Amino acid sequence: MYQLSLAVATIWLLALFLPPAMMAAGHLGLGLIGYQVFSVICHQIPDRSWHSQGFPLAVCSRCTAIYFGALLGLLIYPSIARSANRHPYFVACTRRWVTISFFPMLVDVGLDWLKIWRNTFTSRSLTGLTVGIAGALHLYSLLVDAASDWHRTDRQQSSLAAMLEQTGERNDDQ
Amino acid sequence: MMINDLDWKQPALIGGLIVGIASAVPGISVINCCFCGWALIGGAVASKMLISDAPRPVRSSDGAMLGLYAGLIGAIVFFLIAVPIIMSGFATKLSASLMESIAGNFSNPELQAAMTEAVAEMSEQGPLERLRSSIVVLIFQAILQTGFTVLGSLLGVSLFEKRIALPPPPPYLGDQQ
Repeated sequence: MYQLSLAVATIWLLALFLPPAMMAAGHLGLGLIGYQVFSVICHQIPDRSWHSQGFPLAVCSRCTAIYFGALLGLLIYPSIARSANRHPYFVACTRRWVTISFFPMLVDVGLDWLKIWRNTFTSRSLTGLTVGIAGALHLYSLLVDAASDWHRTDRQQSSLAAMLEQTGERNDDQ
Repeated sequence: MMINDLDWKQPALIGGLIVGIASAVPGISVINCCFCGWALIGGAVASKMLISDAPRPVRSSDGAMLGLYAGLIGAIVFFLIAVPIIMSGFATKLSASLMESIAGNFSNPELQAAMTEAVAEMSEQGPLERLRSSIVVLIFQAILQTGFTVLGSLLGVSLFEKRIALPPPPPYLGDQQ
């Protein structure tokens, strides 16, 4: 499951570069389809987006940083999980990291919204990166939790079926 | 699947309706600009409803399955609402403004002209042509929303489930020696 998650995160990050690449190659239609698909998850304001080959990426700089952070979070997950040594409170711990990581982003968005401070590419990217890393660590630990639940249920069901079968055979013998 | 012992249908339906309706209706769908907000909210609401009625602690696996069901319902509702909106031509204006904002960044005048032409063509399309040109986008958007609903539901379980999950008791198989 780890390799699959890593592959999904990498493909997702690369997909953000597809619409500008399509536009640069002259495939306007395909490029626009790409931008429209991603419009459901981001405002895509060009002034707030990183550019590739002269065109804005499919999502804004904050979202790009979140997805890049998610990939980084997945990359460091094994070493962090190993040092936590399957601690039962690991999931709760990563949840706390997500909550904490949201504060800088909220401050960045809030101050800009209140026109107290104008946020920059750097502030948007750094706060996004933190949320991405913490979010990936928490979400992946939840996925591991879910996968172990499914695995446990399957094992329980098959052992129950085997026991019931044995009981049935014993009753037949009697 | 474990979720079968819980009453997941109503939470999935409500969560799906939130995702589908809010994402398709122009105006309120703007919340989606914030990291597919409606999908995350729909998933989290579904989790909260399931947790409130569940007799046992809800696990991450239950949350993932619930998010998938809510996301699929949301995708169907999204389609049902978005298709007439697209055919009516209302969404075309929004797409045109998006295209124009992207075109504004072009340094190449040829590309800018091609984009302006594409915008003009879009506004002249009939309802069926509009639908045909938007169907691929709608399918991908529905898939994205389903994925984000699963994430919302997982996060919802993580946030709202305060009971401690104990391992299930061993099955009772009668008196066996």
